[in-house]
Amino acid sequence: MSLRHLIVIIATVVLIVTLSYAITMRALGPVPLFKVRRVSEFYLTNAFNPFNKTISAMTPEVVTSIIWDYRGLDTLFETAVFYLAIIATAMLYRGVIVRRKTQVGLSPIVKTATKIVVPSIIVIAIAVALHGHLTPGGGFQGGSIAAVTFALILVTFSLYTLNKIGACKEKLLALRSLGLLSLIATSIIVFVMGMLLGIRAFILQNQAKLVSIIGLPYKMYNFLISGSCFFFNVSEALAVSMAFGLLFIFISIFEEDVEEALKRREEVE
Amino acid sequence: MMGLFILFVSCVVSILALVATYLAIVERDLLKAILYSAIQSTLFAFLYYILIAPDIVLVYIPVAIGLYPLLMVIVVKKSERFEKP
Repeated sequence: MSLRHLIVIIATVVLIVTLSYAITMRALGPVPLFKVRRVSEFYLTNAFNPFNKTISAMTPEVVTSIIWDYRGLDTLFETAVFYLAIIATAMLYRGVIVRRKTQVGLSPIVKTATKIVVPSIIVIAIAVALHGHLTPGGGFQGGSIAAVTFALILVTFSLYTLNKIGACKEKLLALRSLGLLSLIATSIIVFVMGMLLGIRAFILQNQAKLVSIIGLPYKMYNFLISGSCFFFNVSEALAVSMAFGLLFIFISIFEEDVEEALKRREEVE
Repeated sequence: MMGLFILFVSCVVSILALVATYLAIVERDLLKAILYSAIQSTLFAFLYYILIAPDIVLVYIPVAIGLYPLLMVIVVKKSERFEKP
């Protein structure tokens, strides 16, 4: 080990220790500025505020309230960017048919372990997605946890098995579109209701505001659902898990199948 | 006292993650490099948990430990396993 390596190692270690000190011990002074602190105070007070519902998202989880209510438009555009990438991939793989019946997979031990693990992963994903408005987590988190099951089945079994149990790419694409449609429906439902009733309402509205008296109910049969947050989380989880599953099916398709599809496309043209 | 403990743990985890990153860069066998990278991701997930960001942890665990290594493994399978010196 030369002197240069030693210097680099010592420098990086010192950097890390200093940064850790700065972050954990607040060596940078009082971290948030005074104005910023007032913004966070607003969110912490009003994320769940039954006494003043007009400025509240009615969800105890402050992160979810910001993601889906206060800054909901940002999240919708983020989702749009993500799905643009998925749509581009789906377009590249259009017309590809999975034919090859290879069923090799890993050893029986791994297969059995996967069979045990997959249901529990799905249960955790559903719990994270459904409780997104109550505990840390939410739609994207739940969806990406559920997507791990597609990956596990692809690796331990095969693409053919995944097709056989019903997760073919057309079905996943349809379910993903269903999730996206329910995202759009949730974001405009209050607006449509207002139009039908002749009351002023807004796109992405959750609770009733001062200037518009209608809003989504924050409770349903004594369960706290926080208006639109719950529906946003559920539909985002569906869309994200299906989109990731689709992506994994696409990248594990055999090259021969893709070449066949390309040839067919050229013949048509 | 609690602050010092968090400082100590985050220092150790960061340095371990740095070691894993270095090994991932140096390693010529790309499959092993992916494993080192996954170890680094695991340590980062711990770090997020220590720094009280549970929402990020929940998205980081499936993406960085489940989905990203699998994506990379498939890429390696479709190309070459060993990096040429």
